[in-house]
Amino acid sequence: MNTTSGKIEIAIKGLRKSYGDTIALDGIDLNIPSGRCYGFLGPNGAGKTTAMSIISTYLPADAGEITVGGIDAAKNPSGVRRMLGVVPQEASLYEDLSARENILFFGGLYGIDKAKLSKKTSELIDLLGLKERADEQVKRYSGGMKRRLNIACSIAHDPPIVLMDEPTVGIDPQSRNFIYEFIEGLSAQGRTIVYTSHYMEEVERLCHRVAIIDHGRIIAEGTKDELIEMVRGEDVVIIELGDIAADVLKPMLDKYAKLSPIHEDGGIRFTGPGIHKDVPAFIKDFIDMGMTPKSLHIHEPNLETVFLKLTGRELRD
Amino acid sequence: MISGAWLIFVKDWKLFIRDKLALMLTFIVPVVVSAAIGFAIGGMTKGDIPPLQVAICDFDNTPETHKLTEDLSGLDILNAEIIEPTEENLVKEKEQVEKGYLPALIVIEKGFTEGKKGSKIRFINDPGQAVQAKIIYQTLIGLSMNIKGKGLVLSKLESWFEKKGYPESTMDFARKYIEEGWNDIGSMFSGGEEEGGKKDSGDGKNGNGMMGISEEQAEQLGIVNEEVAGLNIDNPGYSHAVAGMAVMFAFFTLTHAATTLLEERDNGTLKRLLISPLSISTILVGKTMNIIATGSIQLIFLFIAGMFMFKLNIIRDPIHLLVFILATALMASGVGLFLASLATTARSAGGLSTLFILVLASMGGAMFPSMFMPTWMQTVGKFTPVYWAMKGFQGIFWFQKPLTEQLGLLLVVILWGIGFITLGILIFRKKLVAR
Repeated sequence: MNTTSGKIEIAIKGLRKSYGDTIALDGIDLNIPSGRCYGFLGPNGAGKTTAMSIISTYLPADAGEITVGGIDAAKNPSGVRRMLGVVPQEASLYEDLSARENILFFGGLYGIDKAKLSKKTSELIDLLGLKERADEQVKRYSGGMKRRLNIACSIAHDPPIVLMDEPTVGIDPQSRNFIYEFIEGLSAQGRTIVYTSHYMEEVERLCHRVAIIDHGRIIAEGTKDELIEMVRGEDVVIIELGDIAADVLKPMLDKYAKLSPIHEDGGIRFTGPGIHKDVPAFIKDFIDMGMTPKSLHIHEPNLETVFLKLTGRELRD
Repeated sequence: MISGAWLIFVKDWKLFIRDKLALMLTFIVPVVVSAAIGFAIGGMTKGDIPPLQVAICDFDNTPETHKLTEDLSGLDILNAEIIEPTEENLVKEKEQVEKGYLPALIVIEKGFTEGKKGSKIRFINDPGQAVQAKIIYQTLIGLSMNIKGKGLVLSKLESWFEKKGYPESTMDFARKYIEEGWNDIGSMFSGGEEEGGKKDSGDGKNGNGMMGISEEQAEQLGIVNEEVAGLNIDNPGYSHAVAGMAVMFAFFTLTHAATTLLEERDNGTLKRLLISPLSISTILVGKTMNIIATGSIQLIFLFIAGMFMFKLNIIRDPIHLLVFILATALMASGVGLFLASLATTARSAGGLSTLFILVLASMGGAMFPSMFMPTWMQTVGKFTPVYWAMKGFQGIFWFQKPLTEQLGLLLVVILWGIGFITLGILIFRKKLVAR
């Protein structure tokens, strides 16, 4: 498979969706290029899953247009579905069936030739490291194995576009790494992948372009470099202090308010241009206040920094 | 669409046979419980009942028999219809009893009043409606005492006095007393009170003994009991009850099967189905196919178990039985799908179905004979799908009717099924579209 790079695979225009009074998507416009891995980065509740559900035609939009591979999703949802492989956030499997039966069933829904599907199923089982237990009931699988099978079931029909909704949430690092490598392989084949996550690290690793989404709106969009350019020159300094009460830290937070200080996980994070030069002053202030810093980290800006800069909050908030 | 629905069907089937608890609930529990209730129903003999239908055909046409028919017609407990005494009508009414439409027919033969040899009152009845028949029979015996009772009592007394060696004067006194006071003595028998005699066998296929008067005594009165339905059936109690049990358990199983759609929604697999190229209708049709297949196999299993355990005759007319099994499975699947479509969770579907099914089953006569219910409930019961499926199976096992005579019933059962399936699919569809 090798789809044309540069071509727009998914075009989204003015997409809106509300649940009662809660606005989930507030007018999203996006062009997702073909043959690349595209990331939706945002905190929980930002609207990522809703966007994926609408693109996959599972949910209807309140307003807006989506075309997938040139097909209007509203007019021909079935045509769109044939082009998509959707990996849901939770492992959605028939636990009393085996891995092989699950893949054959879900792949079979797309009307693929039996022999071809059977071959593809065996390939996926091999690739995802499920071979030894492929004919065992899924209910006996570990969480990581289920997540891998969850992906296999979504791509057994060889879709040109794969939508992945936080496929690594809650799994062990080994399985997560296995999945990253698998996704990189899919991307290398030229498939279009749309990947949602609230983990900055995995979006940075996997995605060529990223849309940062918050409160149902796209607040920034571009390649990783383009986005980081927005905060170029800004340093991130994290000083770990241990278990310190918020009111004790308040004078420090007030003093350096312009550096967007955030008190988190027993430390303080400062963000600002060239603030690595101010580190000795920070340390002195802490010591003067009777606190002894336990460690010090100075980071280059990353997507987390971009999100923080744009929203004043962290991705995990 | 067909291949998609087939895939859904096969997958659901695999899931079903791997669920050991569901398998046990489907096959073992119904057999055990239906056997227990089958025996229980066979022994039920009490309860308040609405007027019982009976037809009377008076060929004797004497003032005494007129009085008898008038007395029978005048009773609140009976809904007696006087039939014009022709051979054609006799055949027609007898057929009504044979087919279960009428519990009993009373035929007063010509010459009965004058005691012509061989002339009698024939009590033609369906032992499948044993309780109704018993009440009518007791009433008939009591009222018949007015015609033949005096002679019977006198002859019994004479032989008893003679046996004891009492003088003739004693007999004369007794004869005079009976002659003068017969109206009062005869009315003692008209109340229909049960007296000694043989007990009910409890198997639903009663002999004369269950009528509270011995066969010999009834014959001396000139009343002959003729059972015209359920003949050659080895275990009438079970044969009669099996329909109700079968239908009720099919309802429970199939409602449970229909709730798998709710379970699929909860575990996320329904979402996967909905974002596949299959239409919602195809998914629902595939599900429904599986539910109908499950119901059909359950019913077949239940009847086969009945054959081995209770000698239920399922091979007399297998095509007829199979057709009704499929129709009943269709109907029960429809009810199951409809109930599941109303529920929001699998658990709520369970509660809803228990309530709905027990009400349907009891009003439709699946749990116990409908004659125990008030008249209004019997009428309402006819508007339940259970009633019609019950009638169909009773027609097969008890009245041994051919399929050609049950086509109307079959159509009603199928229409119930199609109606409920359509409603269930429409409601599910609406819910899924509006997700």
